[in-house]
Amino acid sequence: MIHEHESTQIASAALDFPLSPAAERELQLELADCPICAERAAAYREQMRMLARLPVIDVSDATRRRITSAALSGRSSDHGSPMFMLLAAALLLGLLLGVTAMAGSLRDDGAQDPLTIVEPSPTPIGPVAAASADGAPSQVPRASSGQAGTLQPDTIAEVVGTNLRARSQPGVGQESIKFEPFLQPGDLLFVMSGPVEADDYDWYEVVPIDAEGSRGAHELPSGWVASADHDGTPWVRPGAAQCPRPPVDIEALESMSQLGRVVCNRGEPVALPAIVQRGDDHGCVGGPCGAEPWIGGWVARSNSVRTPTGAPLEIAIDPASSVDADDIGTDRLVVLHGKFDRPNALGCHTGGPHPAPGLVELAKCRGLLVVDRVEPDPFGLRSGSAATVVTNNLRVRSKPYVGEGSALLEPLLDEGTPLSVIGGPVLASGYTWYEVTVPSQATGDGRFLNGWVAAAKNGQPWIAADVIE
Amino acid sequence: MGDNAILPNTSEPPLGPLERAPEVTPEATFILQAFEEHQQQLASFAYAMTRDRDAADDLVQESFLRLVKEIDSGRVPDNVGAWLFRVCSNLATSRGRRLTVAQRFLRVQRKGNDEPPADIEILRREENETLLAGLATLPADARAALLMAAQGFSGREIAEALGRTEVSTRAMMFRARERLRVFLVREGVRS
Repeated sequence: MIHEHESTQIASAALDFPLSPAAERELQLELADCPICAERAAAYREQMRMLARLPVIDVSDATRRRITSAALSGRSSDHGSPMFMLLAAALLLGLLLGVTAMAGSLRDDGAQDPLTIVEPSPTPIGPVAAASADGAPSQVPRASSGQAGTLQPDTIAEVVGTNLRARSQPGVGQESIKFEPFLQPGDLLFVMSGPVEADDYDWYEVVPIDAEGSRGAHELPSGWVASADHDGTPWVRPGAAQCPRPPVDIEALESMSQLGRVVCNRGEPVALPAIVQRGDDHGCVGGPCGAEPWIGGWVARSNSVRTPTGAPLEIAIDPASSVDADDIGTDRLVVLHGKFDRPNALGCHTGGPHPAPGLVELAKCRGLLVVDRVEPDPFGLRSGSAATVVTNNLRVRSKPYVGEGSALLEPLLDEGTPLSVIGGPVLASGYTWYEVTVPSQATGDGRFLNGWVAAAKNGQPWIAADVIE
Repeated sequence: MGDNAILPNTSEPPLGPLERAPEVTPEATFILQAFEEHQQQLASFAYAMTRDRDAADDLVQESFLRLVKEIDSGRVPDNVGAWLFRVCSNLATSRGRRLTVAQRFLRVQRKGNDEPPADIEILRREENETLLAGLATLPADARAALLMAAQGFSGREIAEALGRTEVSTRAMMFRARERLRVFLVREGVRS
């Protein structure tokens, strides 16, 4: 939650923009009066320090050679401008004096332990086909001039103009119904189609999407918006999808909107450990989903104790696959293989009498995970199962996730430690967790150690079900 | 490292009998100076944007090659550092780069399979990883802005690099800091 005092905003701005002495004094007084603001200001400063401490890396030798070669083979000195001649005189002197020391320091930095470079956190179950980049936003490059840039269908756009009107059709004529409320700066939109030129504007068909810090999408109208004023002043510009880092996991997907899932996973195969439950028939059952209707009616869940903020992740079966309802079952862990935004979604709706889907229906269909293969539970553990630790130094935690609130319990468990499973699975932080008691580890009050353990990493099991012979 | 390649008429590394030492033009000097000044900053920035070392290397290379082209066209950025960050930021967020990075991430994950499994290993890297994960939840502009700020760029330079007004940059950075703070608190990293 953003603290509303203006002094937190000024404290943030003061890190990047110079304040006048008077403004600085005023800020200090306000921070003294508002402990939360002071705490936030300190947090922002600490963030800057943490970011500045991120590992420093050098470019590779190959890149260095390529740049050097490109620079040297560039323009000849005959064409050098007078400005460059002056600049060069100073720079060459500096280079000749400084290059040896610089090279030495670069070599020192290059010798840093490569392990200080962070790698992405792995998933505990098998190879997962990832979707978007590094969790990096799927952002269309933004025009540096501040112009509208080019909006593309199936991408995210951000409203930058005040009181932007959505309409039922492209154009400002009477046949184009005005929707309310206005869209406002910061609202995020999914671009369904466009541009269509009408009345000297470029129009795009958009659906608002939920995003942290923006208004709820359900309060906002879908429809056609003009992307810029006649003079080029942008009203909507390419925005950034807040995609989780790959590999995709169910907990992250649960926190996303339906169209966010489309943007972040479009066209990519997904392999998703999830707990499936029978839900309402929200798939394309009964509706025209292309040539063959999908079979809907399940919801994929993480069972995470951290409350998901997005739409329920609905799944449907691709009728062209060999998957049937028994493969999925209900209330059990499976690995779902499929894709979001199947081409058939463009012709589908979620029921009802409409001959063509509305934008909201379409968004729902595109956000379905359509499954074409299902792997059974890789662990085979349930409450009451006996299991054994099959790695060393396995950590027991108080809650089934990594992070604040999940305390680290002692001791670490050695390979061969017997476990009794009493809860789970829960899918969180990219792992599958089971609640266990450890009969060989008694706590001070005479009880057995009890907590949550992750079952595997990168497909390598950390615990395994005991086989009864 | 091949650092001596930037010296004029040097005999190291040795040139073949038919080769001639390349002439170091003022433009080349300018570019090479910019390279030495900014490559580490830019590589670290690109790494934090992509969390992929190979991709970061590619981004830095492409950014400097564009600088070469820019200079070759007779255009000299007023603030070469900010210009490089802007180009690198745009490259990092481009769709093509996104796909490339996605493929590379898969390779990185496969490499990771050999590592000893244990929760201790998670804890060791948790803080930096969480910080990068938190950055990854931010819009690319916001991520670039915070990283540039941490590298010492002023708010005005950041706004210029990102093609935004100072007012909107200030608001964006506040929202980004707040979101990152909430993320870090939620993930158990004090900030």
